[in-house]
Amino acid sequence: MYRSRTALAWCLPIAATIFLVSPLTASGRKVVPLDERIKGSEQVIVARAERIDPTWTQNERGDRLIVSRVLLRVEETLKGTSESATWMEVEGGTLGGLTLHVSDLDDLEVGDRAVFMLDRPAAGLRKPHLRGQGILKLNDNNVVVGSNVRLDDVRRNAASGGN
Amino acid sequence: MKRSLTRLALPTLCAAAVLAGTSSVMGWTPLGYTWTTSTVPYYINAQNPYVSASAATTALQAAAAVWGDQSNANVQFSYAGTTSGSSLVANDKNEVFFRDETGAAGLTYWWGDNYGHLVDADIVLRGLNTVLIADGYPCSNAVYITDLAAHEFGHALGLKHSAVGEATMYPNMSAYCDNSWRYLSPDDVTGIETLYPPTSTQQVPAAPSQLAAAPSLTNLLSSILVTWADNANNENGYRVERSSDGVTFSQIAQLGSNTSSYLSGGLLSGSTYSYRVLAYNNAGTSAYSNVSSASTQTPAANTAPSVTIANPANNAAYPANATVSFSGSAADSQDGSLSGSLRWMSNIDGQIGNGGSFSRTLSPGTHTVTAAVTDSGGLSGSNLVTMVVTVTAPSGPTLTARGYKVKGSQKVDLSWSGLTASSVSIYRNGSVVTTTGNDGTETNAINAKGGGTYTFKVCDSGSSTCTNPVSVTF
Repeated sequence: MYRSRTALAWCLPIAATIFLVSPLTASGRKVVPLDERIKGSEQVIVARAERIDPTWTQNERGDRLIVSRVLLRVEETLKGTSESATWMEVEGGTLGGLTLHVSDLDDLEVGDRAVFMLDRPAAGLRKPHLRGQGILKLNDNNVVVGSNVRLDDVRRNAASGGN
Repeated sequence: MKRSLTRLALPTLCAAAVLAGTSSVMGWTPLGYTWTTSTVPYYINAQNPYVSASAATTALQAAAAVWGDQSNANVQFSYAGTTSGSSLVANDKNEVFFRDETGAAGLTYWWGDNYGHLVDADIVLRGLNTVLIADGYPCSNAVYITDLAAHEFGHALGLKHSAVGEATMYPNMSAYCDNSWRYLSPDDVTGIETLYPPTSTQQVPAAPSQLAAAPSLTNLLSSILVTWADNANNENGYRVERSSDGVTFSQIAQLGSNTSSYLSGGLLSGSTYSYRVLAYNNAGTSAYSNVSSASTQTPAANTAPSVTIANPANNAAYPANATVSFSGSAADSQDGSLSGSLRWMSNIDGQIGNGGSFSRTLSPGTHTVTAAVTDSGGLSGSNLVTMVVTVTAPSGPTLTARGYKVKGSQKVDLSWSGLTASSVSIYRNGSVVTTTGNDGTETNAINAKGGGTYTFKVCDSGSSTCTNPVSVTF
């Protein structure tokens, strides 16, 4: 049974103008508004992935995963400690002929530029706040990929304290 | 419930699309990895704190079937059985399991090789932030497992998130209790059929044969086991049809591939049912199998339970205040032992106990004690015994007194027993009024007129052994 298509194409332009308002609280996946994501992050930076080191890891649940340790060259600090570079760890990567992808995380490649909203766990490297929702890839025009949200919008939001 | 844009603020929904920040605006998005086989096996660990394991399994199987049943893609999932696995590991075993942890309600972990082929995909459904339910459960601020898992199974076939809002692969549900993700949108179908192009040369599957229906040994009264020969090697699954008149059939089950039996339950006892089966795939359906009929058994006639009383024995006697042990048993041909349901009654004390054994005291008297029980068919059985609880005579000397008047003068006849001396003293109001022989009777002439109360007792002379005191009032 196919569902009929409706004109959701409307939505994307409209969304560009209202991305700062509270979003739908989805049931399957809760989309956290950008301002809350910024507020909840310890550090918000604009950075480029300079180096990716995949490695095997095993957690307390017995998951045996490939994780990528990503060296981020910082261009701009929008919130938190200002550093020229920092390391971040995300699930996924390629190692030994195997590639792990995770459904809520976009693949990250060397050279990718993004707004990274980061948390610092009690131990280990920084991790993206709310996993995939903590990384907003930017295109060459400083627009968040897949949206009309501009880097300047994120800057303004961060400058206002995430409110 | 069909997902409805009209029920939600449009800007709000759109904001969700933007903030997801994961999809291109071109609709479905390939992962870049696909399976090399057209049948992808998966295993379920249905242990979860939200719904029953069977309900979870049914919901997950329905979710997996979405992609094969609603598209012509040359791929389908095949349920391979249960697993105890609950870890995300590249072990060449596609596992679906639950975890009580925060974050997105569903996640898929894919493993691919260097050639663009998927080698493992695990799905974890997480209910700490989200209430997960199955069909048939009341839904309020919850997510149906079938719809959530349909999305994750789409990932497991190599689809990333879609930017089309009504696609099953859209990253966010529109609302709680939304059950539209179990129905693929055209965008989903285009995506999956692009990754796994339909095979135009596919033939309809071979028809099943040697269909046989027989009462199930596990439940002769209400189940029939249907078996057949699986003659196809390209079927998506089988459809089982049943008829109660041998003429009009209706589908009662859709089963996975390589299936050759079905247990038809919930039937009326003493009834005859006919069955037929066909195989199906994306090219169509096979011819029907032969028809086979079977009858459920008629339940045997109910018989009344028998009751035996082990204790007390018939005509047993007990002293007053003795604790009496009661024990008995009840057996029923249909229900087995019913001893625990025995009800015990006394014609004097009413209901005195329940069950196979108990102890208690009874009132003095001759009791008819009945033990009775009723079986599940409504028939009762009982047994009874007679037993006596004796009355113990009071100990020690006793006295009775009767007052009367003769021409207005008060007199009292006394009568006693239990005194042993040769003579006795008669006391009236604490004073000895006479000493007389111990012959058991005496008339005390008070000779007063009018009213008054007098208390008598009789004692062995020179002894403190006395009867009970008795009062007489004129």
